[in-house]
Amino acid sequence: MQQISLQPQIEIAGSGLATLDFGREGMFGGRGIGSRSQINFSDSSLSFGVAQRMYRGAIGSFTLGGVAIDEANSGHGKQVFMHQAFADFQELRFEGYIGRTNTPTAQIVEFPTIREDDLVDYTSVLNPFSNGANPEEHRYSNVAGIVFNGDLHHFLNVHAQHQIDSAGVGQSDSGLNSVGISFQYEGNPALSTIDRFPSYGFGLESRAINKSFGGTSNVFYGGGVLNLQPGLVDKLDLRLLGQVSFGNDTNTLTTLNDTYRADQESIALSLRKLYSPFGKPASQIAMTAGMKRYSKVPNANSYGVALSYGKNLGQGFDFVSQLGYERRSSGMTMAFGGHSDALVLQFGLSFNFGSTFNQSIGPRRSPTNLLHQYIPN
Amino acid sequence: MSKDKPSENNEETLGRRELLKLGGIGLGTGLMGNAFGQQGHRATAQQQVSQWPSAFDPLETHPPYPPRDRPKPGEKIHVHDIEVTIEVHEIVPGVQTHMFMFNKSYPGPEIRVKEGDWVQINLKNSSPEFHTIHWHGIMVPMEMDGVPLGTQWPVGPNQEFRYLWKAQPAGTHFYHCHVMTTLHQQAGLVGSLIVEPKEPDIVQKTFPYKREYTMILSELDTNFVRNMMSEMVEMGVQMERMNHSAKMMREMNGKMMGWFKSKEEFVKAVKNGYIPPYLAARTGTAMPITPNYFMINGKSYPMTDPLMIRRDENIRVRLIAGGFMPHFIHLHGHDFWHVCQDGSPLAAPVRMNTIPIYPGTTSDIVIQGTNPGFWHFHDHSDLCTTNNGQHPGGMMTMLMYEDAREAGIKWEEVIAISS
Ligand SMILES: [Cu+2]
Repeated sequence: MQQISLQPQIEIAGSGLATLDFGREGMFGGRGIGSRSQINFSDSSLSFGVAQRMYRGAIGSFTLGGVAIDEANSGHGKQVFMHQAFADFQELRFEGYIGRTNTPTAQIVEFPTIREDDLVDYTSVLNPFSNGANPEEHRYSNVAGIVFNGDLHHFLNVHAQHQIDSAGVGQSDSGLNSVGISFQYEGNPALSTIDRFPSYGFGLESRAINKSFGGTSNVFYGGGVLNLQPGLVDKLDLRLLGQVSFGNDTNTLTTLNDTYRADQESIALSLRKLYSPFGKPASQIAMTAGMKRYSKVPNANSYGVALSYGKNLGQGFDFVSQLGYERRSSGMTMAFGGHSDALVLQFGLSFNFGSTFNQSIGPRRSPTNLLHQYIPN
Repeated sequence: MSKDKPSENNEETLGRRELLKLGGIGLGTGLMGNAFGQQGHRATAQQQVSQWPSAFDPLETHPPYPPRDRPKPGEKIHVHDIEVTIEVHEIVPGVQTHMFMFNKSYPGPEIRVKEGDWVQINLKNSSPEFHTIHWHGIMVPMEMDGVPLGTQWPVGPNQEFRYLWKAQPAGTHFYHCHVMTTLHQQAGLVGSLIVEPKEPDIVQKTFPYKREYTMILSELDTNFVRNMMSEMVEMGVQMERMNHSAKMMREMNGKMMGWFKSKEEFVKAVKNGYIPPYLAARTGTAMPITPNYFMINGKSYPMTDPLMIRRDENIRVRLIAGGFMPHFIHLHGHDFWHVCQDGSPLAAPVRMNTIPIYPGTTSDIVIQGTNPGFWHFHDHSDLCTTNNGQHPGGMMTMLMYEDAREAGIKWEEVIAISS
């Protein structure tokens, strides 16, 4: 290849999040098996990216990053999960990417719980191959995707994934165990708190599960954000994700993997009140709730709820707290080690930052690019 | 060489007076009265010596016309429509940037009027940001000066504003947006404004010329402009939307924009967590402005337009510092005459080959076709002859003799040898 002489743009972004958790026996969301009181630094992450302009206005980039895993959930020395390692090529109408990154099914809606996988049983499209030890397996996968867009607002994502098969229930060792297609609308980022529908999307994913574990599982999912009270200072929004999975014959729930794989219907909703005077988020309070039922398992349903509060203490630095509760019916408790409910109270601090060096590339969906003719630099 | 000219190579051996005698020009009163006595150039025209103004006039800076006059019935008004939009500009092939533009052009269209004429500019703002136009160097009535929140309300998206002023004084001037000048002028809102003298032009009389060039010198930090424009457009788009909501308008007045009724209110807001916009965190970039492109009329070398000349021709070049950096424009192989500064004729033309041009100033020079060939004309501050750090580029162009071949310059051979 050619000699590397042009300096790439370099980005470093991270999020530090540490909470003191007080919990009753049980498991909240994907977190805290055994849920003792603990100091929890999971979801802290650090990512590093390089980007360079390519011929004809394209941009090439590579991102590498890791996220800390709940200490209680993983073995010794396995506290960091590589959640990003992907190469990306994009130009005006097309984007192609390959590697480890957010699973396309996780990109439709983000919920305002303090960690990405709080209430993960409702707020994410679950990975039916996961054994449950590591909730990051629901959010990240090995994926090859191509994305076509119209006017940088409408995105069609066609992808194949190798979802992490920690439960060993995949149909083959071919490497690809999931294919899907999703559609997403993204409004102007400048109007994300003003547009009535700033973003929404839906998709279909088909997962190849071994017949002895109930066979193929398909999931249809959709959701979006609705600004109930648009505004730049005081705003209230509603987030919604609904999903229906079908095609798998599992009819008893004895392991956590069974609960991800069996046919189910679920819905997650959150109501968030954000106060941001002078264009800066100052505080946020949110109520997130989810519920689900299993269509082929008798007496199997659950619900969970989280009340979250965050207060900004300065640039990127927040105080966070959350009270979470989850309850499961008798058909589900065996899979959760006999626990029918969980309660957890968390207090902590979070620090989010991002810095760009040797800047030479602008974001593709900048307000100028969205309003006017696109240029990559 | 024209016959009535002294031979060029006598300069080192002959004094000025002898040169003038050789040229057959007497020591007229015009020369004697010249403030700096530098009337030593050897151009062809005999009339030159007596034409340049001589006496010092303590009322010289008075406006020729009362600035606060309004047009009288029957007086002719020149009307120009100027629209501001956001467009994509290409500095050199492959390097594009979003810019604000006057009439989809960077720099804006040259406005050329006669001294004493009425000029009406209909400014239409079709961008999501606020703008004004400041008439740099023009003796306007205060209300037409274009300083936002100083002498006028800034012109909002989809609003129009009508400027009306009398063109004075004569000379090379320019116009630019005065809203957040660091961004708006850098991001494209600048154009030349030439007021031609009512009386016969003294430069024309002294150095008869047929061709003239306007060169707006400017520089740009593509990263700063990209980040700031995105930030500004974001805010503009939000405000446009808020216009439709009484709730959001109230929010904007009270808690969004950081507009305060008093110093006390401002201090209280900072105590309560308000972060003023001049902190790095609010400007969209944590970096100081580092210009990486340096332009003549919006283009960097090699995309700059050359200056064309012929042997014995005078050309007038109007240099306008439309940016925020000083430049030191140097011409190879020639001296030139600095004739006007900020529009007005100097007390006497000054002979030089490198002229400093400071931000906000304009300098008119006359180049004489005395040395056929192809010559570099560029900023001698060498950072400014780069494109994103790569030399050659930037604020550089060529003085090119159209009749180089007739003068015996075998330029194909020169290029073949040197390349
Ligand atoms: Cu402006």
